[in-house]
Amino acid sequence: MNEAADQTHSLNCTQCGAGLDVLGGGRVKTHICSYCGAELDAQDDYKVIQQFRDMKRPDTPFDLGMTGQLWGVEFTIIGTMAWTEYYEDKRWTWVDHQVYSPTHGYGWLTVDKGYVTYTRKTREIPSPPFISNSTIEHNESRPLVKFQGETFQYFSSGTASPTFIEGEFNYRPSLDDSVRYVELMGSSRMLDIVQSGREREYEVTELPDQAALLSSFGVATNRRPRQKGTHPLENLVRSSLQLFTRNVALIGAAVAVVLGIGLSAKGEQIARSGQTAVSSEITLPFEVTDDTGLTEITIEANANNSWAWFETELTDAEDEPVAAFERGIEYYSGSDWKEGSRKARTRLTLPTGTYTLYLSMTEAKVDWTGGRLATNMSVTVRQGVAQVMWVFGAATFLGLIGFLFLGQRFLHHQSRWSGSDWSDD
Amino acid sequence: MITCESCGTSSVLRDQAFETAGSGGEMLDAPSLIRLGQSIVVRSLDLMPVGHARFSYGRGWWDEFWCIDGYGEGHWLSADEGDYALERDLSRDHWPKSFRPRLGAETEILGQSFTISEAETASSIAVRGEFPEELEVGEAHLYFDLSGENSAMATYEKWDGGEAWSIGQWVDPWDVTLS
Amino acid sequence: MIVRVVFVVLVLGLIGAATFMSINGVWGDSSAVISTRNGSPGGGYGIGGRGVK
Repeated sequence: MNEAADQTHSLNCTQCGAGLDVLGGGRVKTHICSYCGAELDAQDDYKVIQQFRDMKRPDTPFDLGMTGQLWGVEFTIIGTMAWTEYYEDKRWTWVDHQVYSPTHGYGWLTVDKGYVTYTRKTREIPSPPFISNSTIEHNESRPLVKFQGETFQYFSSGTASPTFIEGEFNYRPSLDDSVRYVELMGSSRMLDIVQSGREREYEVTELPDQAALLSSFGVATNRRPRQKGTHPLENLVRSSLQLFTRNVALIGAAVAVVLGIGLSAKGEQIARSGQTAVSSEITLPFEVTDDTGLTEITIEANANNSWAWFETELTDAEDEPVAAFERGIEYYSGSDWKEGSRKARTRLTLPTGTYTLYLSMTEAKVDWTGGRLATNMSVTVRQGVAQVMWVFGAATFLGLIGFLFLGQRFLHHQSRWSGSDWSDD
Repeated sequence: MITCESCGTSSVLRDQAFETAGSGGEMLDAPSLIRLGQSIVVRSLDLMPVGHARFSYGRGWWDEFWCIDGYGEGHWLSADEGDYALERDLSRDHWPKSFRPRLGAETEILGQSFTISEAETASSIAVRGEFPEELEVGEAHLYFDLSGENSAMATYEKWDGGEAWSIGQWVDPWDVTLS
Repeated sequence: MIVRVVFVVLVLGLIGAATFMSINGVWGDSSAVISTRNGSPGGGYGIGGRGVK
């Protein structure tokens, strides 16, 4: 708490005489005059420590003295600092504002790429406590640290220097500072390892609700920053309708799969021949009593590394031919492979009635080493078999709708990490 | 010691009788997460603040709250512009030996190493409620804050006629909530 | 709300129609089958697909 501030709320710059508002608390160390750039020692009668010159005022939606809420706690903007980072021929700039709350202390609001984040110092130390440049350069995968039970992945690093400083700070900033940072990303917050001179500090950054923050601080609509890209901390927020659509589609897909599995088992055996030598013919009478669905005729033969060809004919109660089909069975196997099947399934639509099935083998051949011709054959008839393609098709369609949402999440993940300077090579 | 909340008079309990110890000073109202008689949760510890002392370092002040947990044990919770620390008195047997009070000096307490990170002279300007010790308004105290690994901290305090050690942890302000 | 109801109805309708078509074996005839019944539509042998008439 600042007793002096409670009483006066302002002071005159000891360098240029301009009136300056005192907005911070008793732990403010320096006050940089907004008019002449003199850095005054707040702990020692505002004596001039040094003079900053030719500072270009950055573009920011916040002014000193603005107050607003962060997660229900009131903060005041007490300082402004513009930063620049150079790497090769690229240049990045952002603006930090020191904020102060009598109950929650000192922190930062950072304006970068149109997003405003809240950063505060933490006294807890991650493990490992530091990531060196050589680790970043030589590691095969993104370096990780553990902090408060959460894993943070390397995001970016760099060295930045201030280009503009005004207002109050709880430390002594200087235009000559050079700060090296390593930024790591967790699930909903970032961890920065900040090294300045011999001092190493840890900071945690969160992304507050942007619209709520800007309106709480009274930022005029025309001063609101234009957001560029996706912020790394921006979570993919889905409307409840999107979530509902995704969930209904996925539940529908699951229901259809279960239905499909159930329907696959549908059907009832109505006739079965015994094992018959392939040299003779099978004559199997059967009666279709239920004409919903399909009648399934399964031919089975003990071919081994050989194939066999079968001819089938169906006649009705008057011995008139109804349908005919030819099917082959081929089965090959080795110690660790097999191909083909000893069964051939045929499905057809038959009205209710009595039928007779005639089955004979017409041709067979061994065309693989160690092969053996089929010696026995048999046939089974089932009725009421379902065509499950339809329900599995519906399941696939509904599942695809769900997967589109997953794809959206993947794209969002990609754009969150797009600002990272990590490359896998 | 007890300070009356309405008239600000301090009394000290001696031999089962209260003696008036003087005025509790003027406690200006200021935004605070912690209020006397309003229980709070700090790092999943339920605490009831029963005593409130304010110490001035000239430019500003900080608050110390004497809090009682669910087991009847006392803790000091200090609040200094968002820097919160929860400490317990360190019994004399554990006081570090050969301690030199100056900035940057290192010492070992209960097997943990600490470095003096801050030194300050402050005097209490107001007291309210109950305390385990006598606090005299206006009495100057010399404070040394020591920092250890992972939020560990300790405080060495020296005043005319006494000295004390306490040890504890820094607490994130967002971890202090009303229960 | 109406959008949600419509979507649920669509999903249920899709699953219902698929189940109905599955049970009735629509498009379920094996391509190898040829109808040999005289007087079936098209007459004589017709390539399977519409069942045996």
